Amino acid sequence: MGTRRDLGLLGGAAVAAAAAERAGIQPANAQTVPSASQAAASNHTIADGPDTLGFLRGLHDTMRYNLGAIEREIRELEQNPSPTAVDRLKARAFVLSFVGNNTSAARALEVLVSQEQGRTSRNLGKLAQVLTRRAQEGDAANALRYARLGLDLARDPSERWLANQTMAVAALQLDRLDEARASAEAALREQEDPRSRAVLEIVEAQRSAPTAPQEAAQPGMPQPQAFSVMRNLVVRGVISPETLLSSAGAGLGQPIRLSREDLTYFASREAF
Amino acid sequence: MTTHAACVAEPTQTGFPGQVFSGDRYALTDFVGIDLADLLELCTYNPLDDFVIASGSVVEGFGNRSSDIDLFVVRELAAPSVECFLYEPKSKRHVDITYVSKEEICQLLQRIRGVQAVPSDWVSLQRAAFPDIDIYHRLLIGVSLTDPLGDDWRKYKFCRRSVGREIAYQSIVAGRARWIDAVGAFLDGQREHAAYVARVAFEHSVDAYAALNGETNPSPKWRWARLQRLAASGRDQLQIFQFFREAAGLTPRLSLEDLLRYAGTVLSEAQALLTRGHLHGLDPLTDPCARYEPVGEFDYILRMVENGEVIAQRYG
Repeated sequence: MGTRRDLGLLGGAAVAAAAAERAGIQPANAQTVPSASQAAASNHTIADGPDTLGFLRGLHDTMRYNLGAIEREIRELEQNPSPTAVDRLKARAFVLSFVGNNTSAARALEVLVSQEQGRTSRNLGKLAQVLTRRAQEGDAANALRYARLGLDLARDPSERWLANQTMAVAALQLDRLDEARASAEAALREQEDPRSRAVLEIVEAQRSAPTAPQEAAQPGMPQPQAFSVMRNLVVRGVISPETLLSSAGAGLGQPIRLSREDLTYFASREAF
Repeated sequence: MTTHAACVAEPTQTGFPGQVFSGDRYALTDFVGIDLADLLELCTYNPLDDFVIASGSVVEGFGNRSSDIDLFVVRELAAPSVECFLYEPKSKRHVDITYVSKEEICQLLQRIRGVQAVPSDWVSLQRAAFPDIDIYHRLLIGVSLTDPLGDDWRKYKFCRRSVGREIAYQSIVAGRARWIDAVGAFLDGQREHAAYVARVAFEHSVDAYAALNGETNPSPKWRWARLQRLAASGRDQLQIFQFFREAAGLTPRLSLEDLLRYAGTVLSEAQALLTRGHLHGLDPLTDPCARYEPVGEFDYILRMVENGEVIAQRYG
């Protein structure tokens, strides 16, 4: 299976076949003409061009945001006349997180919050955020704990937003939709942010997806409302075209659910 | 950054390690030439719940440029003790990490509570195991590298006096037995054997004396370094280190009689320290220990050795 970027640039028929494959359905003749349902799925990719561009622009914006954040961290450290070990550690941890090296960033942030001076709301929130991105076993639960503590220590709306937003994402990863919605709404009460709105949209998309086998969508019948929500998220760069295509595949008989990987991808967005 | 390599570049005057570390965790990591983050990242721990304690010879001041760094990860969750050994390339030191649970630490504190009373026969008193004493000492001198939420390393009441008494008690019991053996061999003309056993008895007596004066590292390899530090700080009231250097050092020129006499003296002083504590402000133990001091075999034989006529009467 290709990467998201590969899939995002694939042609319609190949994309549909790939989507079916991801959905766990082997086409009768994968090398020939797609089935009707596969064609239906491929119809959703007619607008793939703008979606892909939106996705790529979202990546670009994230990288640009991260570069600015890295420069800010370096500048702050340079301008600090007497940086402490905690100051150096904080800069290192944050830059690692902006680079996207989540494992190294998580370790550095864990060291940071293990120090009394380093246990700030922002640092705890960042650690929680990095864990939701890494999304290894136990990370979401730990992220919730760190974010809650970060919320307790928060001193301003931006810190409270980060804590609530990260709690929302971690709750999503744990499939606790009510908790995710409550945290996202709490985040929005602190400050308006499209990322918090996106969490609410994802919660709704998840809610509209059938969970029990008897509620599964009929083959060839994608869930229109959920699909619409998710397509909107792609355009805004919240989720990747691959996820949208997977949802198209869902119309082939699989429930529409955002995967852990999708949520991790969502959590990885610094800005969009 | 001041590295430990720089600190130990010049040998101390005595030829023993003499750099005593004092400071916080950041000073310590500077001292050994490693970043705190690099050190902690070697460990698996929960940053909000677990302690990471640095200890060992580099903390105690006995280390050198290649000494390893001992870390203890004290976990909130109960788990069996595990040890692993890593190499840290920046500092060119090995790092020995031991994982223990807080529950194990509490049990250790229960096992080593000091000799609170002197029973009529010390030999029957239950002894703490050497690994327990060793880890107790390491944690006693340890420097916490983390600040778990709602917990404080100081709440774990490691007590130097308790472990000092435990070491002294064990050393005195062992040293006294060896000393009596040495006297017996001496009286029977087995001079070579008597000299060896007397040396062993002397070492036990030194261990007891040092432990009661606050040098509680139980490892024999630091015996003379401990004594040197006592002397350097003015705590060696018996001037044992001076004696060691001049007479009982690497090439002992001491007569067997002098060695026996000296070992017995140090043992006697250590026993007096442990039971009365009058020399260094230690709390006296409750048992008068009369059996051993005024009429006991220990002092009795010591007096005999000091007086050849008595020996002839008693053993002739």
